[in-house]
Amino acid sequence: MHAAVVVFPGSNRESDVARALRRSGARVSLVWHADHDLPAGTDLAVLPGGFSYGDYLRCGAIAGRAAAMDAVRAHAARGGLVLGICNGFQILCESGLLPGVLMRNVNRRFICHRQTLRVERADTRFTSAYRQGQVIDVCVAHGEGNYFADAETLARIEGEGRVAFRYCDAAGTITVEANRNGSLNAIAGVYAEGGNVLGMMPHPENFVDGLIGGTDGRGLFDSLAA
Amino acid sequence: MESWSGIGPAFAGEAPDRRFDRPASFLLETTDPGLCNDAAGSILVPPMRETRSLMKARIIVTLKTGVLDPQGKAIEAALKSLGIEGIDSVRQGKVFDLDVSASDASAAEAMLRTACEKLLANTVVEKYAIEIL
Repeated sequence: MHAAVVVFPGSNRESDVARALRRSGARVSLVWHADHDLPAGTDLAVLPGGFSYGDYLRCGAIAGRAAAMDAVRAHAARGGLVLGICNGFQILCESGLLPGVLMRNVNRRFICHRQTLRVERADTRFTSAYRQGQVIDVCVAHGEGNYFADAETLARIEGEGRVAFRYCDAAGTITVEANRNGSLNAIAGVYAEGGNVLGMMPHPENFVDGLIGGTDGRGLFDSLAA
Repeated sequence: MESWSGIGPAFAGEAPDRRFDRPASFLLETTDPGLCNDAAGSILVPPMRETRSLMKARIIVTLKTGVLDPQGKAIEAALKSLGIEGIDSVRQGKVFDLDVSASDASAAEAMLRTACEKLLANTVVEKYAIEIL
């Protein structure tokens, strides 16, 4: 598994996601946003968290149109894997690789806390190390994570089983309290039509080492590197 | 994100913007030498004139009706807390002031529509209005 982590001005989680990927056995390269190509042999393109371009205009809007994103789009069109975490999810939505948009949190606050998620399916390239319905304990840290899509798009996403994770309580129940950013259908992560692109707001890379609070994020990187 | 609550009265009290005092458009002349001269340097055709007007444009991007606007709600609550009566609802948006050059206003508008669709607005949740000033 060769992963290319795209770094934009204002990205700040590239080292953490690179570390999580390497821990699971992947080879990792960093790619600058102005580059027109991903390294030869890239299996997985990763858009890390942060505040690309200072969140100017809209979160992810300018990064979504960066030169490296043309390479990521071409990689996705060839069936290559793409993972966007937090700001990376916002960039994927802005770039048209994923449907919908991440809006300001409904409570108007930047939220930063541990968050339990329900793994909606375990038969994907991203989640095979988890069990379907498993509740995982990771972290969220964002101001704009409120997933929105029009009714027709939302129905299509649900109908095609493209929800990757939902915000839930510790027992795996979807509750209003657990969905603190106000996402439609408590959506925390979404797959593209082909299943090769995943965007998610929570940070699995935060929890890959027991020393810093948890290891439930490992499954995602283990699945990818398997 | 910039706040915007309406053109005109909303900006009252600011120093007048002198950029808007000059004529709305004037002509730029360009010549294409390739079309003017033959090998001997004699003029074959009159110089081509391409005229482009400089214009001011304003683009207003707002959330579509029905899309929740938490910032607008916060501003609405803040206005109420200031004791300002009579404001029933606030929706926040963005204003872009642009200097553009195009052959005419309709060409400018077409170009700006592309700009809105490609970058300035996320049409999943936002709508835009273009004014050529």
